[in-house]
Amino acid sequence: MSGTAFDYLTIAEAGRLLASRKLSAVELTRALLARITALDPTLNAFITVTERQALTAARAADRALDAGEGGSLTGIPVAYKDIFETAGVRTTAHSRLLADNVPKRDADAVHRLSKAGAVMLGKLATHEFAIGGPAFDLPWPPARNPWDTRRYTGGSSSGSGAAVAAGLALGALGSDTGGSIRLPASYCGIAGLKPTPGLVSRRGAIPLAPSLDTVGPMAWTAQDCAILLDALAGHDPADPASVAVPAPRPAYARGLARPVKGLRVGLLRHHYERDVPASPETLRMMAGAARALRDLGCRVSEASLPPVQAFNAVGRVIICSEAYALHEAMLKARLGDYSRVFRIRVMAGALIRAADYITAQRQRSDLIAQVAAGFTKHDVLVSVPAAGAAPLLTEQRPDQGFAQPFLTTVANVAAVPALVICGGFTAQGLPLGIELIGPAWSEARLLRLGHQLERALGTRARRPALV
Amino acid sequence: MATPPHRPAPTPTPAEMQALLAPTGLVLNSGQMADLVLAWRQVAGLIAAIPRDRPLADDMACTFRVPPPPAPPPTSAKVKPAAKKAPARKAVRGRR
Repeated sequence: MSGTAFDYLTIAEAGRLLASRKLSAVELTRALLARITALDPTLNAFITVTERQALTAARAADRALDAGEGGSLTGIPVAYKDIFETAGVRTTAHSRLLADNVPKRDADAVHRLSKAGAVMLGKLATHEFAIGGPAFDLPWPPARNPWDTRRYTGGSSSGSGAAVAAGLALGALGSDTGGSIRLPASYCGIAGLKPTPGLVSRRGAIPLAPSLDTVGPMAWTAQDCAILLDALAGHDPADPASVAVPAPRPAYARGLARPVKGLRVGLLRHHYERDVPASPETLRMMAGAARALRDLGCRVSEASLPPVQAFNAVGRVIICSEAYALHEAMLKARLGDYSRVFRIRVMAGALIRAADYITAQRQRSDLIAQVAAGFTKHDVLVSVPAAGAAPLLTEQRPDQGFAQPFLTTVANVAAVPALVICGGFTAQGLPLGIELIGPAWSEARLLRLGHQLERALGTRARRPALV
Repeated sequence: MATPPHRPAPTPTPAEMQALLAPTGLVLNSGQMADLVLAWRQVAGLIAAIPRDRPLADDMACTFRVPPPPAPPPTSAKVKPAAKKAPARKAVRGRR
C-alpha cells in the first residue's frame, strides 16, 4: 500500500483540496499510480494503466486550477471499464478477440469526463464483453474483491468496483444491462448509479444488449456519483436512445442537501424476503435502513411489484438474444477464443426463436407499465441488489447467471433509474448493499436520498484492510 | 400477476440438440455442446415462464420512435404570399 495522506479521498474531498491548491493533481495522480503498482497485482482491477497520459492530464489540470479555472472534476483521477472506447488506448472488453483494439476516438462518456478535467488512470477489468462471470481462461485474470481477495467483486463492472473500493481510483465508469453497475457496487461496498435509459450516452461503449444497456457512474459515495453524473448527463444525437431532457437540467450534486422529509418510500419486501430470499444479515441491515429512513422523515410503507422472476425471465431472454445477434459472426469464426462462461451465457441465444424474443419485449412493456403504476403510491422503492454479501470466487458456477434470478434486473427491464449504496456489513466485514429505485428521470431524488441515508447509516468511514 | 420461478427444461436428447443447432451454422465440439445443453435448459425454462396470454391487438413494444416533424418556419404577417404557401405544403405532406 502506498500509505500517503491521499489514500481513500472521495471525489468531493479531493475536489476541495485541489481547488484550494492544498493538493496538486500531479501529487494525487502519482499517489494513486503508486497505489495501483502496489495493490493491483493482487486485485487485478486494471487491464491497462495509462501512466504517461494520466500525468500529462494531471499537469493540464494543475495549470487550469492555478489559473482559477476548472470544476468539480478537474484533476480527479478516474478509470474506465474496458468496454469504453478511448482514443489511442487499447480497449479490450476483457476479451482475446479485442486484445489489440485501439479506438480512434473516445466514447461520449469518456469525452465528457475528460472535458470536465478528470484524469484517466487506465482501463478496468470487466466480464468478457460485459457478460458472464469471473473467467480464468482469458488473457487477464478476473478482478478480486478488496474486502476479501478470495471473493467475487460482482460484475460485470468488476474492475470498477474493485478499483474504487480499494482506493485505486476516485471514480469509475460502469455499464449496466442487468445489474452490472449495481452488483459490483453492492459486493465492493461502494455507490453505483444505473440511470434512466437515454440520460447518459452509450456511444462508444461496446454494446451487450442495446435495448437494455445503460452507462453510469461508480464511486465511494452517492455524492461522488452525483458529481460524476453532472458531467456525464446530456443529449448525444449519436446514441439513438439518448433523450434531450428539457432544460433546466437537474444539478445532481448541488441538490443533495435538500430535505427528504415526506418522501413516500416503499419497501419491496416480497422481492428480498420471498422471491429471492436474502440472508439474515441482509434482512437485519434492511430493517436498520427502514428505521433510518423513518428517522429522516420519510413515510415508509410496504410496496409490491410483479415478482423478480417475471423481470428476470424477460431480461435474460432479451440479453441472450441481443448479445448472440451482436456476436454471431465472431462466435462462428472464433468460438474458441471466447471464455467458457461467455459461451455459456450467450450461445443459447442462437436457439431462441424470434417469436420468443418478441414475446419477451411485449411482456417488458407490461412490466414497465406496472412499475410506473407502482410509482403513483411511492416516490422511491427500496430493495437489495443481492441476497447477501460477495460469494467466494470458487462458488461461482458458469451457468450462475441463468440459475439464480438477479434482483437488479427489475430496474433494467422497467427502464427506471436505480442507485446502490452501502447499507452495512456482515459479521465477517463484507459490505451489503441497498438499492433505491425511482421513476424515470428521478436520479436527483435517488442521489439525494442515497446521500442522506449513507450519512445516517455511517457506513462510509470503513474501508477495506488491504495489506 | 403470479409468475412461478422458472425451472430448467428437461435435458434435450442429442438428436433434438442437433436439430436445434443445425440452422445456426455453429460447429461445436463435445465440450461446447455440453455447455450449450446446460445453458439451453435454463433459457428454455425462462422462455416458458414468460406469459403469452396477451390480447392480439396489444402490441406496443416493437415500435420505432421517429423524431417529431420540424417546427413550421415562423410566418411573417407582413409577407402574405409566404403565409399562403404554408398550408398548401402541409396538405401535400398529410396525403402521403
